[in-house]
Amino acid sequence: MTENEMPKNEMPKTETPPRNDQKKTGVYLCRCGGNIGDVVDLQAVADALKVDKSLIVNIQDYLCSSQGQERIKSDIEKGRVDRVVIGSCSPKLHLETFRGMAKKAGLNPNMLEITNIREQASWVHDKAGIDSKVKGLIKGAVARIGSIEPLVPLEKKLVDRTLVVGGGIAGITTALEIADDHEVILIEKAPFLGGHMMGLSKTFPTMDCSQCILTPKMVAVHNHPNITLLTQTEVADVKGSPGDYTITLKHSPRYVDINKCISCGACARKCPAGAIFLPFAQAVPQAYMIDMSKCKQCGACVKVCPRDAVNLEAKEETSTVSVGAVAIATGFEHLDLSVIEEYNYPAPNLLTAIEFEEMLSAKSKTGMRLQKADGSFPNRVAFVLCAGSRDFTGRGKKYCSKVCCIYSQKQAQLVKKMKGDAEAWIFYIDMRSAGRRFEEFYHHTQEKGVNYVRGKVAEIIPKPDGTLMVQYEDTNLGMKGREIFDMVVLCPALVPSAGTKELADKLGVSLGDDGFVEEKHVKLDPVNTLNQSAFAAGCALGPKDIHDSVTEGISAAHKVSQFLGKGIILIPPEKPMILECNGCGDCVKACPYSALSLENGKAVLSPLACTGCGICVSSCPVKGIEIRNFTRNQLKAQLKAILSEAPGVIVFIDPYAYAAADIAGVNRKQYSSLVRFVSVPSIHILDADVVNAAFEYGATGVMLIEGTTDEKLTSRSDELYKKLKKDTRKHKKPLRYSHIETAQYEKLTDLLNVFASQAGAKAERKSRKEKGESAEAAEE
Amino acid sequence: MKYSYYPGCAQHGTAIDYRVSVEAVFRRLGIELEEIKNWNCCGALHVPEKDVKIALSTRTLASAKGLDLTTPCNLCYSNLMRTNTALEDTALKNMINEKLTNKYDGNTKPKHLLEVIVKDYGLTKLAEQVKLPLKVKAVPYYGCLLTRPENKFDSPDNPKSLDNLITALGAEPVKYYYKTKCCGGPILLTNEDLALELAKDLLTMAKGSGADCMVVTCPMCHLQLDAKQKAVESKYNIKFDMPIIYFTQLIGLAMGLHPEELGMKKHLVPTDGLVAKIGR
Repeated sequence: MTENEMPKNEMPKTETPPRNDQKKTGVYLCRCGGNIGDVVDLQAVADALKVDKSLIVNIQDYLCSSQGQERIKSDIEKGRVDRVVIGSCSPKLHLETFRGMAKKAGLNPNMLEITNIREQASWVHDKAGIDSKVKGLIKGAVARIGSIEPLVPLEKKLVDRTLVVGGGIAGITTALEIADDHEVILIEKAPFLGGHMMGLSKTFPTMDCSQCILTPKMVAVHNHPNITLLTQTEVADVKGSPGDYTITLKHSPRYVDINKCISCGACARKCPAGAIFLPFAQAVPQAYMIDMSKCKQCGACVKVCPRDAVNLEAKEETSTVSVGAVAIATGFEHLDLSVIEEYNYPAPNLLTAIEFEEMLSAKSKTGMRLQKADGSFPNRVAFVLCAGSRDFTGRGKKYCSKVCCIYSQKQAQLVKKMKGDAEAWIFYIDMRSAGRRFEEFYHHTQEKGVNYVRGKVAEIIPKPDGTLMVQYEDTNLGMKGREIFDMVVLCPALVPSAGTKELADKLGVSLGDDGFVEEKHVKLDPVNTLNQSAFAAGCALGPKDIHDSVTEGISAAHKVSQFLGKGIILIPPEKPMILECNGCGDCVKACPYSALSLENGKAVLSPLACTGCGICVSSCPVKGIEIRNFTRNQLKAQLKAILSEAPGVIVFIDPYAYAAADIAGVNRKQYSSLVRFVSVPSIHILDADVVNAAFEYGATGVMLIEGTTDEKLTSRSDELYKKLKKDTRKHKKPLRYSHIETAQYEKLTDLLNVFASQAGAKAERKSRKEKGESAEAAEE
Repeated sequence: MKYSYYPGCAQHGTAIDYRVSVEAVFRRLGIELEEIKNWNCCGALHVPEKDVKIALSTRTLASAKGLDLTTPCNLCYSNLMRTNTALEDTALKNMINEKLTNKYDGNTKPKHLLEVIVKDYGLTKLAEQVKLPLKVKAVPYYGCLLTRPENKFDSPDNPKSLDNLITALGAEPVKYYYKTKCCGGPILLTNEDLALELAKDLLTMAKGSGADCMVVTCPMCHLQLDAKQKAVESKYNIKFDMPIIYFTQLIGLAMGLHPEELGMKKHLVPTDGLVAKIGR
């Protein structure tokens, strides 16, 4: 079949209403208060569009304002338009708003689409070339909207159960807030609840006792009828789809049955190796556990236990749970400070702040006493801030870890409180006290006589007698200094806890380039993620204090409840339709999600299992499968219109990489205006038909950019690329594939610039060659 | 392998034991060291006039006759390296060259003997020469001038080449926070009290780490830590009994050479205990 023949059975199953000649397509362009209007000549764009009499074109200063929305709404209600194209900021911001408004006005929300001419145009290009790009993109959108079906999202019943991953204060808060209305499973990889807060003594700025405020919540989790608490448990695998996940959990053995153990301690008294122990007095679950590396397998504990709770043969186990929503509350850990070689960590009496405070907490191994390695109290303690944070040497992290300025003051105050004449010094770069009650806390710290030295610590040298020599620069005095301390406390950079990336990848949640979970929108949607059924709270989203972690926990719980409360999840309806089938079964074999099967010799789709990846489209030997609203003909019509204005580079981009392009826009990272993005649900819906068409209509180059981390898709991208390269060879134009995760916006813009110039150069050479050939022909 | 060799004053004086071990080991490894004729003192740290100091080392560098110039002493090495850098100022280079018979073209590469072993000869090849793996713990002590302010073969603040050498010989390098800290040698004559205090810290840390010996790469460090160890012990009333071994002596022991061949009888701190532990 050539590109010009229509595939048989073109009519989709749902009827597209015949276009009423009175009704038009409304094109609304937003000046965005100058953000778009100052760079793009919107009037020229409008004039170019108005030639098409089936369009109504309107320019507004702020389309998202009530006035702007009112205009569109009224055009719909008055029957002037029945399809809407908006040229504005990224759909990520206002698509739902506009579609909601359209629905209220009586229009199928699918019939409204947004073309991104801000984050992906006016913010990243200068005036040269941008007008023809915008004209092309809008014309492409118009061509596309003309053939779109008024699809209705599919409904899927949600599983009314939430998995909260992480039992620190954020996870505990989220679980408790959800549990009154919905079932919760809370998993924690340590043998006890509480996370880092369990290792704190007092909490700033109020100096509340950490355990006093935490343990009631831990007990509440344990006792809540709707919460299933599983410790020593992690996520091993995620199957299913948003709203309906089957998650495999991995349980590490404790060797003591927590349901039988009564914490009598008989086992610990009998154990010759100190291998069986209660983590600490307030631990929830309150049960003993065994450190197998110390266990001598003598069985004394087994014999003496009155409840038969000890099982030395216990093994790692797995189980599966069915959940509708997942809340990521995996928290933080600290940077490995041995990378900062000049600090010589670890050494006696040289600790991290976490080790320091653990001595004073419920988890203390020193009887809650602050002591040096030799057991005596440290009379002179130095706190070293920014150990590995705000670090541009490449060894540490570039960001600020936020809480260290305040907690170091707290720890210094504790030292002074424990021994009035002890000395506490804080070496800082800046003293950041932003937050309610923090400046007063800072003032109080100074009143307590804590010494402040503004200057980075250059070197820490452990001395033979256990003291530490700190070499530093005192920038206020303009001097270099050297002091001996009994103990030095390093405030380390906080990093996402181990396993965060693996978990995020399994859930289709993206990470920022700092490694923390990326929220759906940094300001307006801070606890949602790109996966509509995955939420996040606490330090998994970045370093923060307890107050903010709890706030996010409550917010995430609200979002989860809101999500589950609907009872159904709306699945995008852009699924495959089988127009022609010879019963070969190739698509059934190709589908990685087992969403296709053969019934009565014909392929049949299970829409709820389908993720819309489009692998089936190119697998069908008779080209009988099309994705609704992303059919080959629809894509080709869009491409033709985009390239009708001027040649350019066509870049097919999936939603994850689209988010990266938006971030590039927010950061104003410039790239060539020859780039024209075409949004697709997944790059795997593309086949040679569409790519060849792009070249034929004038693309100087084609790129496929994939951002998903789903291995089922990325593992076949190489094969897809090779096949497309082979099948489009005749055009002799560059075709490229690249994998760009949401955080990698700089890599994206570099790639686009390089490719655009390569494609441009190749096109130039070709046209010069052709001109040369035609000149020769003319001469003859 | 052939090098120009600049022994420095100590080799013919207080560090005869070092020289003996260098000759014994390098001969057996097949590395030829051609001592330059009529060499002069490098000025160590005691010549205050900058130009004179640079001139002294320029003459040495000019005598290398196209080969790489090796030296066993940290101070000499440091002076040679710093002179090369200073002579990037062509005005200075021309001024000094005017006063020399042999002009210096700026192309001689100074190398410490440790660098020759670790980088040029190679530790894998050296490991093959080991007949008697040394099952002892050794402090890898580089001294303050080997890797700082400049060197071309290791990290300035956290060097590893001596640690790796010790491992290659079958011994265990201990974790030592004072690897590149000053032993006090250079100020021994001008401020003995402070010099002894610095040595005390080094020796106490070495003892505390459970080491059987300290390995040095410089005759001044050796003088300070070995010859002056008794003075430190008396001043602070501590016993160290810490043998100070040149890295070439360590190599020699591992190759199966006799302690006498390596000049170890010349040390002030007895090395018999260490030798017995090695099994020689």
